[in-house]
Amino acid sequence: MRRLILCALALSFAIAVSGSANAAVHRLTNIHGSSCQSQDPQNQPLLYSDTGMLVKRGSDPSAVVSVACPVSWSQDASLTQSLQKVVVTLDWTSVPVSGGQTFNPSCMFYFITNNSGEIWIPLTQVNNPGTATPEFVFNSQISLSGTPLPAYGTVIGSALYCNNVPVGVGIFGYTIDTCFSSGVLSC
Amino acid sequence: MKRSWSSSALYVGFLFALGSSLASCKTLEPDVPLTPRPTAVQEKSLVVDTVKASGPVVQDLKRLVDRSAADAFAKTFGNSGAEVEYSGGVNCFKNGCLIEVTYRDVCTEKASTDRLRNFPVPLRSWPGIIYHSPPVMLAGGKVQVTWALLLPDLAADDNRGRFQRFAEGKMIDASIRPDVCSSPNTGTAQPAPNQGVK
Repeated sequence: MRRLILCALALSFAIAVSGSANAAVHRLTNIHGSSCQSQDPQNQPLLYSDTGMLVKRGSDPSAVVSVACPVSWSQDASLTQSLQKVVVTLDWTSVPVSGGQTFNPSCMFYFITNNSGEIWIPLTQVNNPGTATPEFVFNSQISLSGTPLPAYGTVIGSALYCNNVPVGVGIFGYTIDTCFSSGVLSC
Repeated sequence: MKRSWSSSALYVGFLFALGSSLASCKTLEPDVPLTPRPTAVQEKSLVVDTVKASGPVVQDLKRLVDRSAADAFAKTFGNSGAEVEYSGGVNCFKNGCLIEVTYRDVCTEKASTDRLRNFPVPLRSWPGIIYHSPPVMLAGGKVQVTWALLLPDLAADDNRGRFQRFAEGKMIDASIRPDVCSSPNTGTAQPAPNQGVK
């Protein structure tokens, strides 16, 4: 009987401790490409569908447009733990693979803090290069060596900006993976 | 009905475990004491002090880092002048380059920063994170900002290669600085028809 009592107490203690462990927190958010907006509202150059958005083909085949894709960010002001990592992936569709043109839509991921500080994370990797569906990766850990990012709860807005997107190209969707913690924990 | 000691202990243990689990489900945040949000000064120090403390740039890349940071900045925002002054020049360290900029007014600061957001300027290809500190209001309506062009670890071959490709690539001068602010100390930017076109 004593053994049973000890087992019950040990089990409850283990569950209680694991529940309050000081862990790094991951948040992964997927966003549909139709969230992206053109920075030319007058001409409405974007077409929306269930597969995201597409830049309409007009009379000028070499035209480019500027696109802003909003990124959701939790407004947990109480989360003052430092951001350890932000990784954004952006999935393109219908990118031309012939014609000798280099696909360089000039994208950066941007966020602003409650103090009006601004942070820009550059493109760090391209998956599936040379195909119609490349994936762009913006990884804070690669583009930063030891300089801390602001705390999670100080971010009040964020977006992906691409200012050189050719006509006929689309965005299927994008994801944001954030990880924050109070100590030097693996993210 | 008489409950045995063992079943009572299990029952109490179960309730305790359930309570603990529910308590930990209330929030996603790690169980650490909450601290207040950093002020603008603290936020800037977090980045600027860490960059300054990182030491000198790797010796064999120092000239390339200094030159390409200064070039990219000037070809994005223009050279130092009456509207935008770079008082201390470009100072590069192992973790990045710092540029302290004084803008003529709020409107000029906003118009200048919008260039990075809205146009494919050379700084858009900088291979590290770019930080723009919270603006500080000075006497006479001037605004001071510190830009930090952070660097990846250049000791790693991949990062060094990426940086060298940026530094040796052709940088188009996109530094047109249209006076979108009609007069000093205006708070709003006026649209300029040729903005973004050299």
